[in-house]
Amino acid sequence: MVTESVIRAEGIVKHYGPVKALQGVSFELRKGEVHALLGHNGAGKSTLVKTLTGSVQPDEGQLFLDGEAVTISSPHEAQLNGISWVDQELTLIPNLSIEDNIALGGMEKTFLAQRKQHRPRVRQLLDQIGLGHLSPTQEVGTLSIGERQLLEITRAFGRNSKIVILDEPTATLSDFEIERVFAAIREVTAEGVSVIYVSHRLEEIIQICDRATIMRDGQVVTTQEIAGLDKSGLVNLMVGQLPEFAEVASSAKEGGSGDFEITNLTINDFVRDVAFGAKGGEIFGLAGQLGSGASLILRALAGLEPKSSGRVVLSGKQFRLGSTLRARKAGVYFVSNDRKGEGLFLSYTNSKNLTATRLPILAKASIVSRSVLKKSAQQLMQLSGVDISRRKMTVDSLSGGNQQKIFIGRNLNHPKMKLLLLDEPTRGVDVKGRAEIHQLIREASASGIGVIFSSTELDEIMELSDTIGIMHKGKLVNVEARSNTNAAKVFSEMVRELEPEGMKA
Amino acid sequence: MTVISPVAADSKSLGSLVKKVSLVQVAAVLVAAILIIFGVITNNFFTLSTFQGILNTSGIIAIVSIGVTFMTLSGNLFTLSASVTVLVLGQAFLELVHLGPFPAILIILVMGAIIFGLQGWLVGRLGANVIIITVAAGFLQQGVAEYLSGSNPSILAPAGITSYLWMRNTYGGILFSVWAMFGIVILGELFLRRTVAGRQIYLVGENRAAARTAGINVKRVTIIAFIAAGICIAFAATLQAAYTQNVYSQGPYTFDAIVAVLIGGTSVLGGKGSLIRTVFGALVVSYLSQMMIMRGYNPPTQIFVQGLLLFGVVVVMQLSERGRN
Repeated sequence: MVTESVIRAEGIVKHYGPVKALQGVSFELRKGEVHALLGHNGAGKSTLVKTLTGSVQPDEGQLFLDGEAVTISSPHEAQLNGISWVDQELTLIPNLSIEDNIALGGMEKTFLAQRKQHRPRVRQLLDQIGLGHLSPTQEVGTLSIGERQLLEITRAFGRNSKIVILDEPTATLSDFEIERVFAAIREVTAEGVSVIYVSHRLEEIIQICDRATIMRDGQVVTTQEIAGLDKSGLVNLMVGQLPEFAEVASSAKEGGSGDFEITNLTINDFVRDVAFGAKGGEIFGLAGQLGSGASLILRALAGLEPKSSGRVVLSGKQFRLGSTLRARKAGVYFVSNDRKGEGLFLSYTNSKNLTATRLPILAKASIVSRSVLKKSAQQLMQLSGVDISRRKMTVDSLSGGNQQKIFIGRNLNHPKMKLLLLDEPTRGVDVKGRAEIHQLIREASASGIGVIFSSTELDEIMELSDTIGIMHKGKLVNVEARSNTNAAKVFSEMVRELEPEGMKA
Repeated sequence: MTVISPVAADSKSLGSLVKKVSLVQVAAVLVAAILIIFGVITNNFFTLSTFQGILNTSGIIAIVSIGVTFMTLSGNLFTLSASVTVLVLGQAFLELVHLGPFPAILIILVMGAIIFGLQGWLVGRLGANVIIITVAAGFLQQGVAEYLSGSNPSILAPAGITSYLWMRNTYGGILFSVWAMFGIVILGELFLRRTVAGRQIYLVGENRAAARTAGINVKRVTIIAFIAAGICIAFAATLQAAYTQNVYSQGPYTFDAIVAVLIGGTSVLGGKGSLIRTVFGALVVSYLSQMMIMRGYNPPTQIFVQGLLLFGVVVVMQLSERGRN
């Protein structure tokens, strides 16, 4: 019975525009097993999960439920087929009670009318996950984040699901709560439920999972039994096939205008006492998982985080954090990870976007001349590597990669720039666009300015950085020259799994 | 005939972009066609005097609307107290005109800039809601004006002073206020297109978060847009006072300006549109009411038709902007 498959995916291909999220992925989940889905960000895990739960339709490939070919066209249909998904985002409604939240998510039609019959079931579910002390009538808004996460998990288990997908279920949980989740997982799998467990925490995977499927760049690297593997074995599987990264010569210049030194940087009481610095012409990569604080550091330096403090000296001058205007005056330019929300003026032309943030420089006595604007736009268009004939097209007509080039291009060749910050510079960009964007960043850096970028993607960190700083849970855990480290080491530090006990937060 | 059509600006591109004809363009052509057809079947409508009438009744409203457009472009909707400001500053103008027309106009423009600049400061600096601020500012202005005038509802032009009466004359059959409106459109468009602050008004309106992230001083730009609005509205107030010689009640400016801006096709969300469009909007409204008067429609019908047009414009714009933000 062990080998009976409950859901199987064959040859799944999914493209998002030019980005190949899944390239012929096959995956099999057996009855009663806990199956880990591993891979760093951008590997394709979430697209695979979304395919299995009906929120994404594959371009090619076939799904099989209990051996029968099926199409899962919506999350609702997935639920009807016994597939539940606990996302990283909590989906509980804060001003409803625990029992109503559980009833809401379920398929049973017991809501309101059969509340009394429903209640013992709710008590049982709460007990199972270690929330027995809570009353079913308590409002969800009064629960802690950890309790809500547990409730979310037990709700999924309580739906008579055949398959439960847990996406980073323990990110917000204490060790004790994690134990409760594991106990509940063991209980339901003993009854024949199958669990897909998406996590970066290798220790937990070894503890609870039976098999693991490891993904990289939209493909499955391998599916293996966990028994007999240890953490370093898993890390090797995850990063083992990394290409050799060509050593790119650093263009660091002594006493360049982009030298910076950051000390005592504290943001929102989460990032604490971070200190690092680099020379102009050097590219500093901040590596870290989502929520590690890497992106927060860039936002604080750009003046976007009001609750930030610390000493920042750029090109010999100190400036105070907390204002985008002060940051800009000091020569800090920021490329947000949200190019649509915080970056581009989407319905404006490429020309307008490229010159949007340098109007005061191009103007004489506050008057801007058309010919100066045009010249500057053409020059920047050329620099950013987007076909110059698209000058008068609107930015939203471009692909994600070209949009990002315009966004970065806007900051190139800027006479007042001393420090360029890039938050996830190639998010949602295809491989070719990514290489071109990396080239743009290197060129910008070669002019002697300081460059700091953050990335959750290991490849990008290894390809682009001269120096790598690794963020984990708000702390800068290590800073090392690219030449002194390797992908496996950086990755372990990003997920903080190979450290000796006691180092874990 | 295209003069009266709000699509004149777009009609050039219609031929070449047949494939990409948008909902907005279709709606605009439709409205233009209806207006022209009704004009044709209305007796004596297409005469010089009708068009002089349309222009002459739209000058002051168009200037107020141009002012409001600066706010709309910067992403700050409208003012809901334009009528109050026109009333109060109009009264102040008649009280001050004994100083001579130019000093009086200058003082009124500065007052308008201050009144609106303060509102802009509250909106830009404190992130206050523009609707609430402009309504509150309206009450405040009315209160101060009534206090100063001893609750005298009616301010008459001072007897014996004639030095400013050129402001109410016609030149070539066209009122001074209309010529002034054309001048303001040209200056305003130059400001919006050729100055850093003007272009930044568009950027802030198009994407405030992006403008802020890029280090544009969003607060300052907001205040500048409000000041531009205040100056236009103050100037309209002097023209209105000079024309009527007796300022005692609020005109229809607040809502007429909103109608003109929207019919002109400036985006309610900011970042798209122009002063010229707003002038077209004001002219369409004026054309419509002139036509209905000549067809003998009663005032409730006129208001109903205007409401219908505005409603249609809002729906069309909402549909065409769906997905944005």
